[in-house]
Amino acid sequence: MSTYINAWTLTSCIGAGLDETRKTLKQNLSGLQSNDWPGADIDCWIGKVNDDLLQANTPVAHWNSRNNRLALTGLQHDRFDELVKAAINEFGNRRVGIALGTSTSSIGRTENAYTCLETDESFNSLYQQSDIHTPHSTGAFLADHLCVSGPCVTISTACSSSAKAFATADRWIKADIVDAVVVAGVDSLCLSVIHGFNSLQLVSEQPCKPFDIERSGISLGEAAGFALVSRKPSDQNIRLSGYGESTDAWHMSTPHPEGLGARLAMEQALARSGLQPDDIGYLNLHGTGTRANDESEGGICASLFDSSLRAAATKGFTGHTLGAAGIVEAIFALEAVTEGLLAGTANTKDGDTAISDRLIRQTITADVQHAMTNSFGFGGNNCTLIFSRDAV
Amino acid sequence: MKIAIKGIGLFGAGASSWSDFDDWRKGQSKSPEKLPTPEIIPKAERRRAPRTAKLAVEVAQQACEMAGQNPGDIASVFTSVLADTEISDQMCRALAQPVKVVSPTRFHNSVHNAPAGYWAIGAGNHAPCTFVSAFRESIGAGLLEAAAQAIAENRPVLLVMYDIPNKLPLSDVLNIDSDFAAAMVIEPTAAEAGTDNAPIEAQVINSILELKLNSAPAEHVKPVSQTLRVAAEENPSAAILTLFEIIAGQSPLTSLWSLTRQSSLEVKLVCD
Repeated sequence: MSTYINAWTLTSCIGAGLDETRKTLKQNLSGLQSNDWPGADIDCWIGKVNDDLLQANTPVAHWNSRNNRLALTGLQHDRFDELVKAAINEFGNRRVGIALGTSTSSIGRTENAYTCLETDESFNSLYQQSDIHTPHSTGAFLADHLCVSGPCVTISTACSSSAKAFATADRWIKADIVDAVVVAGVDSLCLSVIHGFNSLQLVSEQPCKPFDIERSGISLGEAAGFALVSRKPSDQNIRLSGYGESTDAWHMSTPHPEGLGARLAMEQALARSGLQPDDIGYLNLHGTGTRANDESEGGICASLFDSSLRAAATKGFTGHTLGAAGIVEAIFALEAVTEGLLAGTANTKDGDTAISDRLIRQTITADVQHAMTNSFGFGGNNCTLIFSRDAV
Repeated sequence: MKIAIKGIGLFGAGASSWSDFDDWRKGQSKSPEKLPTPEIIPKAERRRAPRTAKLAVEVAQQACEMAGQNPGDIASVFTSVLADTEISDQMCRALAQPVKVVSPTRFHNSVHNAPAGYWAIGAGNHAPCTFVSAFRESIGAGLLEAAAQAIAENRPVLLVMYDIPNKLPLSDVLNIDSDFAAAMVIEPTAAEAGTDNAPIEAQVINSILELKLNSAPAEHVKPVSQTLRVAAEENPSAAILTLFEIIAGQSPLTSLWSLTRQSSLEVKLVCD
């Protein structure tokens, strides 16, 4: 039995929906802009989704937060809302679930609420939103908005969150808990992440340049990505052919120097899919642009794959969208196996890691049957996914 | 779905381990005097480890010990209703100031998988590890995720749940008055899949549970014991005490966990 990926959509700083996203990727245009986030007086670049677009998709007051506005905006594109309704009609709303990956959830709204607490320390009436100030804010909002009543869970393992949501969906389908799952990843910019990553000296003053000799850290971004997965294939016949999950057991905020957890995740994903490294036609690396990540990930990928590999690190386009990064880059892998669109490594000029010779710099088109994507998070939490297109 | 419970870890207002459960249930136990200091967290990390990590790692370690399970190779699912409200509160207060000073340690501890990270680092564990949450439905979501992993991956899974006391404004969301953490070592049953069991003598308990998804909403079933009822009102993760009463043979009930507003998870003891 297989788990099929039948539809997807992405909204990030490089576009709302797939048409805009593909166009920006083909033009090799980064979506990063100089930081103008209110209250974050830090010299850096951010990947921000247009505020007016988010305002136009404001849910009812009870559910209002930037993260939920971003989720609602994302659902409006590529007929995703309609396709979920069609899945509910086909399987029944109790046989459709939601697996959301997010690290921020609506904490940005909670941050705002703390600036105007009442004298007794309670929330001001504008912010009395009990479903918002919790890790599950966006998961609960999606279930309510989409009228899905199967299991709905928020997965929060930092930057691997929405990659792991695909593994959870696969298990739910295989254990016959549901017939279809809305896999989501929604993370939004907020003070916690900009100031937090800055406190760890991981934020670059320039647009991030993954794997570049001059790389100096990440650029933060935000995104909403959705995929509709099902036990029944669509005409495109795209499968989640493998996943691998592992833990570094090394450090809370630094990857294992030799990429031990990364290797375990990639090897498991390959074993599960029955594929060899040579079969992978496109590898979307985690590639954050920090010295440590790119060094260890580049090293381990160079030893696993031979020189014919086509790899890319796409955070120069979108910024690091944290809990959403897994699904953003899963969607780039899906675009590779369906559209033959291989997103390149924006901003990067001179590579200095072991994998540099295998990096595609510009976005290209090529026929790809199997694509892999890596997502690694704080706490040493790793997830690798492989998507495959089978001949119909 | 059938799963076996092989070990239980417990820390709460009336218990510092599973061996205190019976006294707690009868209202005859004392409150632990201080937070646990689990050996698995190395000394150098203990100072940095947040309250949630100390609680979660303690019960995780207890459950593995009872099950005779090596803590270094078991997959894990962590769950919490509100997660680390102490750190969210500190971060939000710092960010509400005109000059925003965020401690790097506090920031990396603010990820919801921080307790899972401390567990993995301390136990030297490279197995899959996740954090799931579903607000008031978190216990149901955690049970479902752990059971689905045990069955689909055919391996033991450690389920850990915890919540800590909070204060205004976050207590406006859901008031939590006391610490609670619990863990269970879950294995697929022989009927579901082949098992790679720990030595038989180490199996202090071996309760087989059957999990069923219901297409109807449900209220969490409350514990029978009055003392445990109070504990479950003080801390949402302590709602698991209902299941512990059933496992301990002290309740004839079937436990029912709300999963969403329209569905629930029914958990029934099959045999012991």
